[in-house]
Amino acid sequence: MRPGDAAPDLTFLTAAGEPVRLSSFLTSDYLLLLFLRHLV
Amino acid sequence: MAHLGEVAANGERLRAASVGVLAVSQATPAVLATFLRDHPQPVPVVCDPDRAGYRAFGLERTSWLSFFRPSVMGGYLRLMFRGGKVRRPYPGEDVLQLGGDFLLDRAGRVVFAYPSRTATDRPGVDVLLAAAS
Repeated sequence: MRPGDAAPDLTFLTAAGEPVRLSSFLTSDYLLLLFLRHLV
Repeated sequence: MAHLGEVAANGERLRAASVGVLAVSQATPAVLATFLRDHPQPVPVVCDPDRAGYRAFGLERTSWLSFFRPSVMGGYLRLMFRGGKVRRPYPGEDVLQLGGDFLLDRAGRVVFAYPSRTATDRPGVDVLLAAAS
């Protein structure tokens, strides 16, 4: 994924197990998408 | 999580730059729920237990040998000197999976991409803010 590419509208899961689309978070001018290595 | 902590600590600066934050975890929902109950986060955190998102964004796995690189060991030492702890990952988390930071515009287009090259490789918040300006 490089600058200029269209990010896929991925489906993630909430902590409650509900599906949520990436596009639902695009509410600001920018979204910082942080892929974590692990939680701890 | 150290990087998420740094991002969260700069929440006001990010909000002023109209940058929202979404953290993606490898954990299952049950693990994430337990983690968030014990460690509430100021930004939304979602799960990608199959790591489909990690693959879609081209995030790779590293090797065990990479943890012995001076830059990686130095990163963990800096974390520990700042009071952080190196802990075992939760069940199901792939410790070799690398992370990354991506800045998307409102249309979902990638403005900035920083796939981590090592376990401790992350851009600073100033770099992220510069990409949003």
